Order: sequence, then structure tokens, then C-alpha cells
Amino acid sequence: MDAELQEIRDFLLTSPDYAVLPEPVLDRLPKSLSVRYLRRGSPFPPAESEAADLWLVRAGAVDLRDSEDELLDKLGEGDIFAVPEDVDPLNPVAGRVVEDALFYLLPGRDARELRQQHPAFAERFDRASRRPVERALAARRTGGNRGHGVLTVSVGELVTRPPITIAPESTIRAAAERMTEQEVSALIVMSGDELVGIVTDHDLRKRCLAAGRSRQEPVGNIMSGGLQTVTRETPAFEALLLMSRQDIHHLPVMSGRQPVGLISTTDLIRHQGTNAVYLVRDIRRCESVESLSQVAGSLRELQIQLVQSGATAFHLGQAVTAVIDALTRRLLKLAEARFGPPPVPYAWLACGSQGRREQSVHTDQDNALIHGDSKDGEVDAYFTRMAEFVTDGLDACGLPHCPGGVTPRNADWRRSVSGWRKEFSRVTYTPDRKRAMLAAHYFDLRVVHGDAALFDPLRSEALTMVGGQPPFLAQMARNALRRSPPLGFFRQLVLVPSGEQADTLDVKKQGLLLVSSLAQVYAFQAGLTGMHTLDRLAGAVHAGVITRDAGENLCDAYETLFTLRARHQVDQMKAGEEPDNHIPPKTLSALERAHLKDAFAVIGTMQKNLRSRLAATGTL
Amino acid sequence: MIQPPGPRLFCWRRQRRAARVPPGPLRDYLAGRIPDLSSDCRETPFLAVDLETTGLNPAEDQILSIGWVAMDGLTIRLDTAGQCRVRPTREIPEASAVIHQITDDQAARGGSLGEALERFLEVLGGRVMLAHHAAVELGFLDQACQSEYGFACMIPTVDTLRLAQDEMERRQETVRSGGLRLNALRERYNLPRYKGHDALNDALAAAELFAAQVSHRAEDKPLPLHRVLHRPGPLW
Repeated sequence: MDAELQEIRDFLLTSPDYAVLPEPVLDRLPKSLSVRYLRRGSPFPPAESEAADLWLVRAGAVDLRDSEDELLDKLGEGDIFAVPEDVDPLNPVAGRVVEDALFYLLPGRDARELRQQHPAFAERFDRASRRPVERALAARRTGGNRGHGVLTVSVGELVTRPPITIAPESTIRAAAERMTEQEVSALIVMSGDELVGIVTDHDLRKRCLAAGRSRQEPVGNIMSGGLQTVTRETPAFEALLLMSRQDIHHLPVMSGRQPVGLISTTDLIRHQGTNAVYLVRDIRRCESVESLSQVAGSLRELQIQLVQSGATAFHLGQAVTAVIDALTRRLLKLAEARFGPPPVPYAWLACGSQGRREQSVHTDQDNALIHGDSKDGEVDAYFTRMAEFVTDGLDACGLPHCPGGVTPRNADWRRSVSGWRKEFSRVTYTPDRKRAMLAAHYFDLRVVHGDAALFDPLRSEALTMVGGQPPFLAQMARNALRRSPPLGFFRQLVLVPSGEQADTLDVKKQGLLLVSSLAQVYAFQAGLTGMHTLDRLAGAVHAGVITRDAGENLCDAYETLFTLRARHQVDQMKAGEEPDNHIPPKTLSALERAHLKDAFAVIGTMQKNLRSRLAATGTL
Repeated sequence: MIQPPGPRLFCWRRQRRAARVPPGPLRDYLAGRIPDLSSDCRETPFLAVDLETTGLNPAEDQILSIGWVAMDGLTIRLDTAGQCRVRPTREIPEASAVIHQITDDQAARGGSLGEALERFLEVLGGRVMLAHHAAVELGFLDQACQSEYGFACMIPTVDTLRLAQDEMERRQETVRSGGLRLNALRERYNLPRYKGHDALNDALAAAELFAAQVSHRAEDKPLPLHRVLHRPGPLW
């Protein structure tokens, strides 16, 4: 007999879940399947389904919803669904066919057998069984905040007990005993009702034991005063960033003037699953480019951890940028040590995604430099050397040189204060396409290191300048509207028969940057100073430049695209590949595809709105 | 329930013929039971069938392969999928070799028509045949049984093309040219386009189309088998 069922075998291979099986198993598998057709509106899985039955969507689509009719997942071509072994009566998952669908069904007994024999398949199978339930739980947890991604916890949720306090007059010995007995690593020092300091086990070691201080001295002598504090409402992530910027490990949590708890980096790391704090600290301790490049390798680990702990696009971008900022600062310090102190004040600027604090691990350098005016020719030579040292150092740390020449090695991006002022007015008053593109870059410049007073006034000056320049706004808008979202990509993604390789999606160029450019234009219109795309969108809503709905939709689109990219990069890194921005359509789940489609649609609509609005006012 | 006379007459004739056919595969087949014609389509055992032939005229052309897959109700069971190549007694015309991509060499590896028929009639036993444009399949199978056993076979059959035609007439749709082709109809029901066109693939394609047609037509009421059964004129 030569019953080949080659067609079905080929389709199994396009399913990432089945593709993990060895070839000979795949060759035999079609014979174990049955084929089912369910028309639109049919309940899914059908009533006669048995536990562990494994459904593979060959064509069509299915919505999975929880008991409150909340959409948990969408299954499309190539997605699998495993009928749960036991239904959780509190979280039943109900599906409905939303597009006439054809399925390949593997009966439960065969699915179980395959699981036992092939651990890789078992893992994917378990994920498929868990997924809808997990989404149900996640949907419940985030409650009313759906669609805004996973909101990180606030500090208040991490505080589990009131702080352990001690008076400044108590002895160091009493403090040590107290810490041991309460099993804490830090005490809050209270003078009456007033918070005066904090003492940690680190202080005991460093300031008492190592310094040869008597244990009978008052604890006030070794405590740290002038504390940074947070409130219960502070997002845990902000607390983490504060700690990493200040290089501290404990923060008192205040309610008014009353300390109500104490959080440590350990608490945060346990909850956030990140070592950003340690990473920044390690960077600060590096004394050479070599050691920096070694530490920088952990940046990838950081992104993996953050993505897996469900960080939002905003938090991920902030964390990765914080680390890259720290690397840059450290390299500048090393440059200053090497070439001597700078002859005039200067500031190192970041633009593009670093400027907006929206970076991910796959990023290249986009930097500029501003320095005080000087007639001395040596000044420029000094900063050229510095720029070369720092950019080469970043390159060694895995952040390649800017292919577009946006680097202070290039004289166009290394100017004196008056040089930048002249450049800003040039692009503002006589804008053309090229200048609008430059202006878009300039608009995202942010001081990473050095004298902010050189640049910040210049920036506000330039912003005021462009405020009254309709031609400038028109050029910026044209710049933002140059590219449309790849809606065709999605159509292709859905309609191209599987097996044929569709093009990959450049999620940055074809998605994220479109949102960022729109946000830039809105920020211009509203005269906003915020830099992050999400801040700009929120500001634009506040200023009435776009409606609340539009703002929320664009934020969702941004979140979707950013998260998709971050996950894609994590998958690549785990597979030992270089992370990039190119997502092959095959790797997208049905839900991701649905979200992506929504995101592109929103971007398309907002581009159209911007175009027609500017046309109506005669600006475009 | 009172059955229309057609199907009952058909069963009776089948039994009579069984008595006249000499012992062999065809007699076994005709003597075997066929599904209750008043039963619901969704509980009927079917065998979706496709033939590949050297042309469309049963009197002149030959069967090159028979492909089939069983359907229990509307569940297509791929474990039952089968295909038999037949070694033709004459050369394959070039035109049909292009369509089927079966060359003389491949066909030469097939078995005899008798062997293929024997296997086919065995799996068909107890099932209703399902085919797209069934007249071709019935014509060739009749001709083959005639030449092998001296009698035509009487196969209860459902034709997916006829079902589509009825459905379009019911909705007063005009049928576009090519609109009743297997692929065109499959597209209407959101079924995927298959690349392969061997007998087995086309049998599977017809089975899926039938599942889609019944799912869309039956709502939740039972759809008795005799309502969809193919009615070749002289048999009823």
C-alpha cells in the first residue's frame, strides 16, 4: 500500500508543537489522526471530546473564553489545543469556532503515548494544555487593567511586615542581636516618631567590625542618614531603578511621615526576577573595557528574566536603557581617566531608542556630544579621542557602531554649544525632508553623562522655536508618515499556504518606529517635554491632541509590538542565536497574530487621521 | 417511518443481484449489509473514494488508481486511508499522465485491476460511497466489475457535487463556470487548498467537503441519509 498522506505530514511539520518530534514518528503520525470539520458557531472542543485529545487547527479560527466570557486565546492555523485532563470547575475554558474550521485530531491515548516517549513534545503539550487556564488566571489577576499589559506590583504589595526599629541611642550590639532575632538584614532607626536613618548588616561589617569600633557605641554612629524613601504606591520597578541609580539596597516605605515597611533589593529581585541592580553595580566596578564587555554579557540574561517575569514594555525599556546608560557612563569615566580631565565641560547625549529609554538587547549606538565653546583646536581633538574610545568600548560590549553615522566620531554629531544652536535653528527655519529626519533625531536627545546645563536649555529653546513653525510640523508629519504598517504582511501571513516561507516582519522599522514617530509629532503639537513614546502619548491625550481612545489604542499597539520583539529576542537568545528585530511569521501564535493585526490597524488609522487633519488645516 | 420507494427498491435489487453473481468479492459485497438508509448522515459509515483514470469514458479508459478514506459520521479516520495503483493494460495517454503525474513506469508497479477491486470492495462493505462527481466513479467501477465479475456493482452513493448543486438551486444561486469544482467548493467552506492530487488526496478532499456540507446544512436536526443519496436514474 502506498497511502502517503504526505500533505498532512507536511502540515504537521509546520506546527512548532509537532515539529519537535523525530522524522520517523512524524511519518507514521498522520495514520493516527482523524479529521474534523466544525462550522462557525460550533462549541469547541465538541462535547464528545475526551481528555488529552490534541486538536491541531488546519484552517479556520477558534476563540477560547473564560467563564466571564473574556477572550483568553485565539487559535488559528497551526495552533494546537489539548483537552484538559480535568476541568477546573472555577475556571472552565469554553471555546467557539469563529471561522469555519478544519482540524486534525490526535486521540488522547495516542497523545499520552507520544508525551511519554518524547519529552520535548510533552513540554509543548503541557504548555498547550496550560495556556488558556493561565491566561484565565492572569486575566482575573489584572482585573480592570486588561489591555495595558501586566502591571507590575507596587511597593505596598511587597511589604509583608512593619519595619523593625531601633533607637539611635541603642548599642551596636543590641542592633545586631535585634537583627538576628527578627531575621532581618536592616533596621530602621527611629528617634521618637521620626525616621532618622537605617542600619544594615553591611554597616555592621564595614563600619563596626572592619573599622574596629566598639560594640557598645550607639548605633546612631554607624547608621546611614539622609534617606531616600518610597511610598506604598510607588511601582516596585521604580524603587528598583532608584536603588540601582543610587547603589543602595534598602528603602523605607513611608505612609506620610510614618515608616510602614522596609523593602530590600532581595524583595524586589524575588518579585521582579531581575538583577538590574547588581548589573549596574558590577558595571560601576569595572576598570577596563575587557571587564566591562564581560559584565555587559549579562544584559541578555536581564532581558530574559524581565520578559519571563512579565515586565511591561515600559519597564523593560527602562531597565535595558539603565544598564546601557551605566555602561556608557563607565566608559566615559575610563576615557576621562585615560585622556585626562576634559578641557571644557561636555555632555554625552543619547538619541533614538536610548534617548527615549526604549531599548532592547538588539540595539546599536546612537550618540552625540556637546561641549563648551572654545577656540582651542585641541578641544575638538580631545573629544574626538574620547568619542572613539567610548564608541569602540560600546562596540566591544556588544552594541555595534551606528551604521547611519549617528556618532560623536562624526563632526556632525560632535558640536559645541553654539554649533548645536546654529544646527537647531537651521533645521527649524528651513526644513526639508532630510532636515526633518535630523530634527526627529534631535528631538530624542537626552543627556546620559556630563553637564546637563549645556544641553537642556538648548533643547527647551529649540522646542519653543519650533512651536510656531507650521512648515516644520508638516515636515515632521511627512517624516512620520513615510512608512505604512505592513497590513499586507498580515494578509500574507494568514493566506499564504503554510510551508511557503513568507517574509519576516521587522517589528522595529515596520511597527515600533511608526508609533514612536507619531508620538513625536503629537509631542511637537502639544509642546511636550517627555521623551518616552508612552509618556508622549499620555501627554498628547492630556493636551487634547488625540482622543483618549486613540491614545490608549496606540499605547496598546506599542506594548504589543515591544513585547513581541522582546519575547522573540528571548527565544533567539535561548536558542543560542543572535537577537534581532526580524520575526518569522511561523513563530507567532494565533493570539499574537490577532494582536499584531490590531496594532497595525491602529497605526494605519492614526496615520490616516494625522494626514487628513494636517491636510484640513493646510499644513500638509 | 415510511421510506421513499427508491431506496427500498434499491436494496431489494441489490439482494436479488447478489443471488445471481457467482461467488467472489462482488457477491460478498452485494450480500453484505448496507447502512440503514433512514439513519442520520452524522452517524452513517462512509467511504470517500476517488479514482484516477486515463480519461472520462468508462468504456474506453482505464482505472489507474483507487484512493479511499473512511468516515464514521463526520469524523474522517486517517488510519483507514488507502490507495491501490492499477497496472493498465494499455499505455497511459500523455494528457492524463500530465494531470495525475502517474507515468507508465509507476503504473507498471501497480497490481491488477482484479486485486485492486477485491481490496476496494472489502473496505467498502457496510459503508456508503462518497465521491465528488460520483457518476465517473460509479461508471468506472461498474465497468470494472462487469469485466471482472460479469455484473455491475450497486453501490449506495452520495455525490458531493450533486449536493452542492442542490444547495445552490435551493438558494437560487447561479452556478459560475467551474464553481462546482472540488477546489472551488472547498474554498466556500474555508477548507485549505491541497497541493497533491493523487486519488487518496482527492478522496480526503471530498470527505472534508462532505463534512462541511452536512455541518452547514443540518443545523441540529438529523439529516437522513436517503435525503442526500445519489439517485442515478435507472436504479430508483
